[in-house]
Amino acid sequence: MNHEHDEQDTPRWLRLASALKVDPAPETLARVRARLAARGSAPAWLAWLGRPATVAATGALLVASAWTGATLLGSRGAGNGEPLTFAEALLGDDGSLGLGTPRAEGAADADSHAVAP
Amino acid sequence: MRGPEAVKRLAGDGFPRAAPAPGTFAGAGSSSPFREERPLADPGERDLIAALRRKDVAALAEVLARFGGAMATLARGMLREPAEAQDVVEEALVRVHEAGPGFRGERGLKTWVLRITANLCRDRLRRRRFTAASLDGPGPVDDPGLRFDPVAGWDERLDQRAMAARLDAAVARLPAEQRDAVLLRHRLELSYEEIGGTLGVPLGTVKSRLARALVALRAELKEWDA
Repeated sequence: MNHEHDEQDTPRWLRLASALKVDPAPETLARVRARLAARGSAPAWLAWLGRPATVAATGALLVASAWTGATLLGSRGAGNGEPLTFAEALLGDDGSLGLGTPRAEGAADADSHAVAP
Repeated sequence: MRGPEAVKRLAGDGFPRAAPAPGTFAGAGSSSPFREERPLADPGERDLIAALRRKDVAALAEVLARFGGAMATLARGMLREPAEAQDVVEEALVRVHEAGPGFRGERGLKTWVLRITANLCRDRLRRRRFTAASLDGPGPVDDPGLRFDPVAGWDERLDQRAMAARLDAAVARLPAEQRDAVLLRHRLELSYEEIGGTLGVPLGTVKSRLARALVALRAELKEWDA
């Protein structure tokens, strides 16, 4: 296929496509200068933070740390009766608020004001 | 998209480089799909490239004067939304300024500038998939910013403007890659090499896209061939 052959194959009406032209707005250059000036005054770190790569890396780090946290909590709690998640630990009924403070055998509740025998 | 990486990608940097033959631009290396070597740019273009490499803001006026019409026509044709197309033209000029020092002149200034414009348009179109905007905006024929240059030697009985509008609508319905090729070839009247450089595809791909587009357009506008 050569160009001459292509031109012969091209219908005449397709020439109409080239009849439609668009000119840029007269104020284009002024706007471009304004954009360049605005970019020049913006701090570099802000532009760096706005880069898609930075945003994506931050998101990936967040997901990875959440996954690692969940895995660690799961492996610690599994099989030994300890709460599996932070929420479970908070909702635990031992009154320790998930801190897991060991209580002495036979000790009374801290708010009972009872005297141990 | 911001930053030097974005500029680098949009500028089409990273093409394989080959030692330029005397009197030609580089870029016709064995790994390139383009076998034809481009003659050196005219002196005016060489000066313009040098000014862009120096990041001379005044050079943008010359870029706009030389290629502004092609940039605006391409952006309007791809996006079919006047305000967004104008925004892309402005953004493309900013990218041209930012990427100027890295311009290697492999495919010529026009191709480079149009490639930046086309890539920005593609980014916008990609974003539209998520914002549910469509391509069904007003055709360029209805735009007040349109310039209609009648085709010489046309049958006076035929309404060129109406036919151009219908053709434009048919082109808009083509798959994006075919539509872009038709815009570059038949609206901007670029060579196959320039289209390949602008779209970043090999020559054969350009030709096959144009051939498929032509089949689709003929089917849609078949009464015009009669």
